[in-house]
Amino acid sequence: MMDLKVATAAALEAACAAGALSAEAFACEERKVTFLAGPKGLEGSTAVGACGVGIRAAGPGQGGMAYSSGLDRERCAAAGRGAWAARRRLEPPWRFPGPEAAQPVPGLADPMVSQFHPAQAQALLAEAAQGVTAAGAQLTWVELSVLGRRFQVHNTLGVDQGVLATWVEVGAGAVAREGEQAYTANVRRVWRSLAEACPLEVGQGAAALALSALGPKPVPTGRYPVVFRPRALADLFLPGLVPALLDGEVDAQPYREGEGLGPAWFNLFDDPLRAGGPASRAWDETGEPARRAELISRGTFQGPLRLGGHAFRRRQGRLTTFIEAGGAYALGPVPGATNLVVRAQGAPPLGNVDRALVVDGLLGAFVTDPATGGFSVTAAHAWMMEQGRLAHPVNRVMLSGRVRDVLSGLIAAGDDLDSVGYAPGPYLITPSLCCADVQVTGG
Amino acid sequence: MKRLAELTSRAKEMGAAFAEARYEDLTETFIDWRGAGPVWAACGRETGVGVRVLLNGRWGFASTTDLTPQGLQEALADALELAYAGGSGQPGEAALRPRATFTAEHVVPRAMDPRSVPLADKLGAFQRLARESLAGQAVSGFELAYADQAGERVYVDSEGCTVWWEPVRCIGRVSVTAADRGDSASSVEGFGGTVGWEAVETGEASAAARMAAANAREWLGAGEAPAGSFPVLLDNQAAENFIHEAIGHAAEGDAVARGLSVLAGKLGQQVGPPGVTVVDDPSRTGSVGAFPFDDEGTPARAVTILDRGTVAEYLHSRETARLLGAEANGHARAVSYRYPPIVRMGTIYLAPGPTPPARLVESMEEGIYLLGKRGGQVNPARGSFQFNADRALWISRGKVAGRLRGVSLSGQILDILTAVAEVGDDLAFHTGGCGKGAPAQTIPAGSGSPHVLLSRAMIGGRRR
Repeated sequence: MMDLKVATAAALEAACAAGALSAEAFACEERKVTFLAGPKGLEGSTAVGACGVGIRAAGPGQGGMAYSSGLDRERCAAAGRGAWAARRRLEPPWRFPGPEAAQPVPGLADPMVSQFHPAQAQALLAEAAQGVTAAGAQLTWVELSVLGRRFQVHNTLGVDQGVLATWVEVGAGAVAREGEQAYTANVRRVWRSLAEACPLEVGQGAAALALSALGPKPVPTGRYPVVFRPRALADLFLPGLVPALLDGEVDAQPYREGEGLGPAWFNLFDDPLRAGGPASRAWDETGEPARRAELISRGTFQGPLRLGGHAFRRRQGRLTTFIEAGGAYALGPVPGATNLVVRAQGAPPLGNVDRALVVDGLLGAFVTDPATGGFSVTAAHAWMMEQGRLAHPVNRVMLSGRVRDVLSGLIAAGDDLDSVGYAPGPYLITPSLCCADVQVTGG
Repeated sequence: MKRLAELTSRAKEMGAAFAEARYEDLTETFIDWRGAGPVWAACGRETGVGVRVLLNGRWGFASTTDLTPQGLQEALADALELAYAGGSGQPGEAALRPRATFTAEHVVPRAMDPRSVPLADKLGAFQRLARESLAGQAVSGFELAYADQAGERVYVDSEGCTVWWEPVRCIGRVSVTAADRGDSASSVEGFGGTVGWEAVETGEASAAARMAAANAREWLGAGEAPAGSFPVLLDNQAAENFIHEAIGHAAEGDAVARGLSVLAGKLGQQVGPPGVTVVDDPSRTGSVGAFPFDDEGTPARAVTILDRGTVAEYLHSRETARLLGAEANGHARAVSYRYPPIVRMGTIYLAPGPTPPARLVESMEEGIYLLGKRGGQVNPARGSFQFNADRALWISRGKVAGRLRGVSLSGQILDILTAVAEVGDDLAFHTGGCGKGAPAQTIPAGSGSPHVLLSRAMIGGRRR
């Protein structure tokens, strides 16, 4: 097995020998170790890994891309030759950053969990399970994942940048039963190091959600103020808003720069340099230093995320064709978000809202069309809030509307800042937000 | 194959009760097209091995792209270490349903192997498709995602089972947007399956693009759907989405064995009307969700999940089959060598009934006719599901009374089954996909259905 630096060098050398004038190679190695336990203990463990190299080779007005799993010289060189062989006319041409981009960003170190040993998993899983059962719910599953990811970007202009990132994810499932009816709840959290991980909280959170669903009452169809908890906001915004904030991601850009989208207290920015952020990284995937970008400031759209410090997402074909490309190395860089932070500075507090529907998690939100922002989803968990307190859980309810209307209808924010997402990101870091008027289908 | 056999033998020597190794070597093309040209087009090759062992009643799995003897041994050592992570104390409960050993070979038929078609020819075909689509009246946007894969897969286990096969897949998804006088509408259609480049060459891709363009154009100016409970007619694609989410996931043996499915413990019980027969058939030639063997080497076969409304069989891996006292039926699937197999659907469908769709429309006094599919989600333990339609029609007195958009359906599985009033006679199949598991595995999954009439269902719409 080759070093990532050697792998990218082999791919570049082969592309240039084949005729390319410039090239960029991106090598990636990922390993996710997952431990899954049920009520009777550990059931199984998996180490899912991917490594390979992707390369873009360019000449005047043309370029091509190829990739290969594995990091041995022969496969990397084959990818390099393949990229030049797959060249086509390019408009606009690819722009690779020069050596001036390869300046280190101070103060952002990725914590390491490489010392993690499988034997530690038992204790951490037991802690999460304890959180579920001690709270009075039944355990359905607990899971611990440790993800390590290194990548190396190397181009013919002098960029040769490596990054190591690690994540620890803990998930727990709980069930509370009432006669034949089972009320299940799942909670997942992510940390950047084992030292920070708190599995007990995850178990307690899952149990609390499941137990709080007991004894639901129906609510009639109508329009309600809705408090979206952080998980519901992530379910809605990550597929329904964020793609529309990435340059070139949707065909018809629905938001115009300078357009007012929310109240003056609503701010949204992407901060890859956020201390302790779940998706913080020093460089993007073309080797340019990461930097913070304001997306919505004082309610006004500032413009989309563009390449040049924000290439955080190599596009993968599986999202639309369901055939999985190898890993992050399989296709080219596109703009991507990291730590998307909602700052509700000076927002009226949630305590000001007398009566509202509170939702936590949404089913079906991932199909929200970002071009229109139209959504029609089912709440995973919902409660009625009266006089500022949760009064009772509610039966299945659907919420429908447009993301644009949710933003413009925001009237209050909570103080329960939380980050929601999956490694390696993006994550939405937000408090609960209340929208004044949402169409709700009840039963 | 010999190296894989040596690996599984070595695992047995190291104390594993069972070991299996899966090798894949696939050549792939991905094309991502927007407007008049490709955003990305890449060719690649994926090669690797996944090793799974059963030790002391617990599973361990590891994958590698390092195919040297040392690389394979390291992957095996990882898998054994992970299985042993539970310690030597109380053993785990994982075990496998016994099966006969066998050796098999299979080549998935194809007219044009995608590996024989140069990337330039593929791009040329999509260039023509994009030009034709964008030249259409009111069409403002064209997007296409295309992927093909072909190569070989080998499965070897410590019980002496050996399977070699040559898979092929060409899959695409076209999205067309139409715009006029400040309004826009889009529609999505898929094409392809476990077939070769003929999926594009023989006109299936252009038919999908024409269909998406026509739908987008027709739904310009469509109104918002109302919210509430209505009689609902599902077209083929909406109904197959419903069957996949509401029945398919609830019938997966892993959810059933954990008691996390509303169909758990209901074998032999009537849960739907006699007109509802649901089958998952991975042997359906050409379907995107077709495979000759699952990723445990078990020959895939059709499973009747609901037989005239009665729960007849669940979908199984060898492990869930043992837990539930059933036969493994070839439904353990993994995205690739990198992942362990879990219980999945192949190609699920609702068997046709007696009624032509036109008669179903005529029979509706007032209600909503859902068309096309945009995905869905289910919580099989709570029994709640939801799916989104591509577009919809308002039906009044048996006739189309308006076009609607932004519509989805939500329900409780056991309630909605009893709401199936009639099943159409027009069974049709389409491509699709499905995500499940941790680590998440997204796979191509086929589905089919005739039209389905529901006496009442909860519709989420945006109209006040």
